[in-house]
Amino acid sequence: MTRDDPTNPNPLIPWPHRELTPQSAALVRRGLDDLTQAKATADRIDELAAALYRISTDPRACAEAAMSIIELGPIPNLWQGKPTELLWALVITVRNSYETGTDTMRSLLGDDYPGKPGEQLRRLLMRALVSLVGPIADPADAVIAALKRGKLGTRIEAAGWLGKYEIHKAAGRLRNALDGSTDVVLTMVLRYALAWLALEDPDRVYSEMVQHAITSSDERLRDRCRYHLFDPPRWVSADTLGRSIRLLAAHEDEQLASLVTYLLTYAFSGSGEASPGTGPTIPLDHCSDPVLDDIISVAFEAFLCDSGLLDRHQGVDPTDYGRVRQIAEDWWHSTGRVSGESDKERGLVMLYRRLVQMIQTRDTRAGRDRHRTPDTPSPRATHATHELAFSYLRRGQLRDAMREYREILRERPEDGTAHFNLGQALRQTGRFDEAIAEFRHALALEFSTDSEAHYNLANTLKQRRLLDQAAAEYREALRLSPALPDTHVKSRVNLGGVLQETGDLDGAINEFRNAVRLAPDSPDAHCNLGGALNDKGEVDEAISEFREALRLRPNHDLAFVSLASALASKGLIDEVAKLVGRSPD
Amino acid sequence: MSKQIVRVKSPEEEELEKKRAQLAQLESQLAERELDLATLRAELAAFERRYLRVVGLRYAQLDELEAEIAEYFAKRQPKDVEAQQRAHSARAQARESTEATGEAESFDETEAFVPSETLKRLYHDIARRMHPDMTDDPEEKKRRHSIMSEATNAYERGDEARLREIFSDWESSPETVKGEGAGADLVRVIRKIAQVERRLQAIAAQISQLGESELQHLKTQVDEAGEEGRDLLAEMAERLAGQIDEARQRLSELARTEEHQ
Repeated sequence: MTRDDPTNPNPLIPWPHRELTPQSAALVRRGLDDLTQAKATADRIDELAAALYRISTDPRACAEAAMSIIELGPIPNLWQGKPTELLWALVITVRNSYETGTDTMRSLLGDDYPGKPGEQLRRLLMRALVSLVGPIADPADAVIAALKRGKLGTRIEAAGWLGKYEIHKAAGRLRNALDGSTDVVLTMVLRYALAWLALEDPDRVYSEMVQHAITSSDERLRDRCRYHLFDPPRWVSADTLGRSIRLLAAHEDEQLASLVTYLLTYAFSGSGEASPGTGPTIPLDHCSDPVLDDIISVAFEAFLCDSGLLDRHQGVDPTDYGRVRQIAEDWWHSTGRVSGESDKERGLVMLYRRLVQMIQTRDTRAGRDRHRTPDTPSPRATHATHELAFSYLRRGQLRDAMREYREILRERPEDGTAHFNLGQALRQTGRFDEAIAEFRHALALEFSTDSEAHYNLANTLKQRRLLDQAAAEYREALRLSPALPDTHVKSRVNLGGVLQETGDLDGAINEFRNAVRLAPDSPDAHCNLGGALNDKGEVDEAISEFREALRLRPNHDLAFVSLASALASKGLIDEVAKLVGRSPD
Repeated sequence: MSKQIVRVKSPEEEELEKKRAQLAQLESQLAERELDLATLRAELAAFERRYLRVVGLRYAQLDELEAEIAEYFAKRQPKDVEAQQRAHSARAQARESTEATGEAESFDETEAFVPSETLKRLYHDIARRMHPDMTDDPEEKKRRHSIMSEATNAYERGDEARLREIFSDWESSPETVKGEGAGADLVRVIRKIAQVERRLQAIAAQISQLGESELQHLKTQVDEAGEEGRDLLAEMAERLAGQIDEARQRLSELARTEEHQ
């Protein structure tokens, strides 16, 4: 080849560089193989975790998954994120099994797991959990860990659970995550969690989620909001919930329609009864008149649709309450078949009850309004208002109670009792800051030496997470209450709880010990003491306190789980197995 | 007003102009790709050192213990052929792992190749001017080849100062003019284009080969775990540490039973 030959390929010599030695390449291959194997385990864990997530619909799959985990044995500390995820799934499952309807559980688990099915499953899961991770301090820690370093989806789930279970110690982490979040869905769920902890305005957060659920073009955000709307934060006001129902009902969408029915029947109740699988309900009485009118018409429409009466009663004026009620009650009496066997039937019965309740509430208000005199109240009338206000407060008609107390205060601004009771009503509606102001006002006026009053204020401060102030008020209540054993013990226990949360474990243990001394038969007192001791690392003593709590009340869930964790943290797996009622095969 | 003369270009000249433009574009592409290749190699080399330091050393430790255990059994049962074989292959494995990690103690546990923009720019500019495939003079090619080797090494070490030196020392030796006129130039340009294109293909092949290498697979997994906030190498090391402890315990138990006998 000559230099001028255009076909000369001009040998391509790459500049020399170090190639992998065969020995080094072998080590790399070995690492890869190990990882592949670990990945297979991790995939199996994913499957199991997925099975566990289905607990609410399929407890059997969950139980089977728990058994498989036991068979899988301790997972090597590789793919660290995985055990955290699984642990977290287990925690959720354990929590869920507290809530899942025991009838469903019984029918599904049947003879395989004799005894109370919920309890059996919980024990089974507990055992799986112990076999999987060994020591865990607190299930909440697993969820917090998931929020810290899980994948995006996991973090979103974790945030939702932390809020719903009011795990206050995660508040700082939620705030940090919120500051660092660039994902709209995560941001929304974090704020939702904070709303549950009363650290964000629940009304604003819930209303925003309603908007997203209806209009957002971001499918993830929309679906996520729809999912969480089923669980309104505890502190959402009745009016916000009512308005949300109205807004959601105005959209022709099957998913939203089921959400509306759900909110009407479960979340929005007049009785305050707990709804299955969710947190507390929001009493109907707190709703203002126009909002109540609105949701009665929504409920009526939903009722007509679900009961198949729509064709016959189309065009009935939903504000004609007498007629609406008549239609509902006729349906109830005419149908002997509604056995409540299917979910749909149960839902319809609930909806019927709620509708009648709403109309009753409306009727009561209308009747009351007729009897009210518009005149300026005389001193005698003021006295009457006090009685009326108190009766509202006792019956839980908080909105009415607040109105009456405000009227009294217009007349007599220095009425300490009115300030105090107005504070109570405000506290019960979740308006903590206003409640605190009223309590302080009342204390300054006439209750400065009343231990109950200080105790009340302290509880509200604690709910508002003003822990230092709460501790001071509990101490004041303690100082004033030596003659009132009940308030005294409660103050000690709560002071201990506050100290524990602020990290003053010695102080907390001291208070709990005093409480145990005063009330040696209280399982809660022993369990609290055990918890603080465990946090401090005094595991042996903690274990004996948990045992004492369980002796006093054998089905004390917290003591049970705490004892299992404490035993596991000491590596006493046999003891744990004994506790959960199965031999360590 | 001065008069301007517009010279009419010959077809060769026009073609030459087009080809020169094409060559210029290819040359700039070549510099980019050389930078990509050098970066990928440097990243993998750094990763390999980190892997050997964090994980490899522990494999070597584990293999050494396993070899000692196997040899213990082989010594106890001199007639057991299988035991002898096991000891032999365990020892070979231990030797291999030790060889692979011979220098690993001196590597940095957190090493990663993260070139600065300046460093990348310098390497790119050197490749742009001094690439051996941009000349067709064999002597010049040889000179440039050694310059590029040196530059690549300096880049991998992150040695900015050395790259600057190479850059300022560069004297473009004038291209020997061979042949006269546009026709001869055209032939030369076309040949250079062919050279550069071949080199581009070779780079692409090498990059894809490196991308499919086991080392790269491992690195990808470690990087992905890193994005989730996990240190996969540390996790592997931790697990191996557990196995090492366990092997060490086994060995000391064997030693104990020996004492008792």
